[in-house]
Amino acid sequence: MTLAASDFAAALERDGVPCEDLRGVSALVPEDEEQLLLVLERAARERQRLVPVGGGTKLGWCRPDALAAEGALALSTRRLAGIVAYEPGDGTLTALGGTRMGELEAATRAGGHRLTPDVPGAEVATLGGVLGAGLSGPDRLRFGPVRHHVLGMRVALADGTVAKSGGRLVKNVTGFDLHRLYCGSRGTLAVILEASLRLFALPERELGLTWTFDDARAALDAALELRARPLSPVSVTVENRGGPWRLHVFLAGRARQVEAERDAARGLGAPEAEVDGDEARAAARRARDLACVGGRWPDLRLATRPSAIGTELAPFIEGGGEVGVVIQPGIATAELFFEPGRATSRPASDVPHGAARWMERLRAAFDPDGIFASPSFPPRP
Amino acid sequence: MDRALERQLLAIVGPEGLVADAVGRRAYESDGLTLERADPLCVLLPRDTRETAACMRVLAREGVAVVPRGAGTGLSGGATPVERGVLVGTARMRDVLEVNPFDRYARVQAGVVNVDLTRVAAKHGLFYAPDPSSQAACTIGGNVAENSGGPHCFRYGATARHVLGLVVVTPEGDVLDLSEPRVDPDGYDLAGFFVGSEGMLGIATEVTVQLTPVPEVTETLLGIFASLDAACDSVSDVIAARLEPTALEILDKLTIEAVEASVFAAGYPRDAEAVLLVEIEGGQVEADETAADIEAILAARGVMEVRRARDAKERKKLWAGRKGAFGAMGRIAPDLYVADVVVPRTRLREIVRRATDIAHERGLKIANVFHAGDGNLHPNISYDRRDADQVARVLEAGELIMRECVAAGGSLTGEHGVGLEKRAAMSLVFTAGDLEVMERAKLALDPQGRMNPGKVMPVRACREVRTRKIAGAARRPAP
Repeated sequence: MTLAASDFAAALERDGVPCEDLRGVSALVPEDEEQLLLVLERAARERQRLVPVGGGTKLGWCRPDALAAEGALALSTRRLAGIVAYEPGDGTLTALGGTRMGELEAATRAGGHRLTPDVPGAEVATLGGVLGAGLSGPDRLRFGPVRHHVLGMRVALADGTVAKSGGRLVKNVTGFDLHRLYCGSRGTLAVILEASLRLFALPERELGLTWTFDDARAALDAALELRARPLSPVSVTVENRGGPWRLHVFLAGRARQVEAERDAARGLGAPEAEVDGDEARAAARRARDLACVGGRWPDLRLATRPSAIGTELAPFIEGGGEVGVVIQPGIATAELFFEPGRATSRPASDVPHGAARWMERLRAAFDPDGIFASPSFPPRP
Repeated sequence: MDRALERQLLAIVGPEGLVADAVGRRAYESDGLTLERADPLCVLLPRDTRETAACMRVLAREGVAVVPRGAGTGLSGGATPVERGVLVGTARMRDVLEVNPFDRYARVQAGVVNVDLTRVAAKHGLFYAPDPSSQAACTIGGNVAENSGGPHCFRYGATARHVLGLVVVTPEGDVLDLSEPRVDPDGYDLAGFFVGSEGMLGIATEVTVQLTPVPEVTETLLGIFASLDAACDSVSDVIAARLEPTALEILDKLTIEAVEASVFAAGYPRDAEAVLLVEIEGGQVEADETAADIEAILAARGVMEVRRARDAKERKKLWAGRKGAFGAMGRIAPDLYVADVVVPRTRLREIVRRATDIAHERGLKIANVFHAGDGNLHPNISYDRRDADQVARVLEAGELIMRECVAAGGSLTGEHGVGLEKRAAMSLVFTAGDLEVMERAKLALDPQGRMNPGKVMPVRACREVRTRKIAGAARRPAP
């Protein structure tokens, strides 16, 4: 931390705003909205750079060592937590940005609802953090990406303006959907104070099936073949951490429908393992957590089309050096973990010129002083 | 229109792409909100992205306001022209550019008609899910501008959930190519933000949409009720039971009468106070069980009878009544005010009843036909626009219904957009601060405020539109 940043944090601490170490980065952790607005007011005055975060589980995405060296402080919303309104009769949920995903999942499950996205680290990750990161789980195969389920948000801009967009309704086109911009904006536009999500029905039955294959190609072909069969899985994951390649398929829904889909899936050949109920849920969680092993996110993420996933992935796998691969074939993403120290040639961002200009204009309109600015996001051509 | 400007535009779009004469312009003076009319300088109908961009560069240079238009079926005045502004229509951009059945997407020009896209996709066992009632006429580009819904959006979601990419011509005439379908946006979700922006940020000329596999089984039920309350309560119960059919639509008695007397006659019983149209899709087992559960809920709410479509022909007929309901309403009165509001789905009955009372208290005829499953109400008030007093009462009723919905935790519009019609009401749901932030985003992308000026934002929150006056703008062009 630079001297200016530590002075800034110390002054706020004297005014009662807690400051903590969050994975190696100094983080201001206001206890309420008033304190958060005080932090923003001071930051605007003193041009202190802030990185909005929730539980900090995705701090690794923005190189915390570099952040600290540049004098940025994290601003965590994790104490601005709590469910504002869970409406089981309407299938909607509104919660403060700092509420942990695990807590939301448990509360909605008790009311018969399923919360999506199902993301790694749900015990620590917060609603605001997940939305800010635009992070979807493997269950997006069935439900779609997280940005599709955000009904509205209340945010704080760098200048302290608190504003909402959308609402708590499952269908609503009143005004600009700014919450769609905030979703996945990685904190560079605003701090998410509160958000509303639409919920889905908790399934009657859950079932997990696993097959093993000798190589990636066979596993991928099997996964893609499932797309032609009459089943609608919650998630389909192909993974490898040394040894054989595994294909996990999770089915959920009405008990008899799940059985019918299992029979359709068995057309691939008898699965090596089949788990039901709580075991299926535990297995789905393990498959979900493959995307973040021991708090470490993948070194490389490819996103393409289902038809191209095999060919785009091939050069990386043939190049060797990877210690883990997680593929969502239906969603068309592949994530790779490499041996420490291996230089990874990330595909360069190919964001078109015009798009980059629109992004920068939006960013500058929301945060002209660059309080939340990031050197790497939004991407430049 | 200024001759020099006309010459420049003509050189880009050719004579087929320019409507400058008074008679031709009249066809464009309003969209589906016929209460609002204005005469544009001219109407441009470019053939593709390149022509659109060239037109937009000329209009930017001249400081002329631009109103984008699809098929003009919108009901909130989003495509109402502005005086001294130019209307840019997508009617000649009708090509399906690519269909990729394996990766389940299609790329189309913005003027492709909604139902034509589904027709093309059907060859591959796929369909395009958003299905506004106007789908036989409305365009994909218009659907993008309004984030349009439709009955089946209950399960599948509105347009925003189906748009994978866009090509946008910016107010300055630059081309923003976001057409490559992406898993997640690279950076901000510009395409997602653009959907529903009501033509205020630019013109979408191409759209990449997601296609959905045609489900294994489709079941269509018609619940016949002796009371509208019971039909509404049935829907609230279905939602509370977390059942997931694909559509839940209610038509009330007056709508049934209009439909049955029209070419859209669907065999709805005329003595019913309401019918509930339910569609269930999915695997065979799932559809059967969901249908049985819904029938049990309807029975508990005292349904008189439940009919089940036996085949595709019967299903089509039941839906023809629903989709044709707005057209059929023409039998009741010459004009129809189609309100579009949303409420939490726990409060359907009380708000539907309140809307009916509000209309009746003002001596107006109201017919309810709505997307009950989404809490998206369409109280339709029939009137005669030549009767100024009646028009005033209709507008007052519309405003009061909107206020009731907002007070019940609802909102101004579920799928028709704010447009001209509801901009003053924006301050019922948003604070000045909320609107100021929306305005920031708008001005970041359209600094001169030339795109669809005067729409969506309440006038007092909107900055002045800085369009330069065009010399001779009021003059009629030479024949």
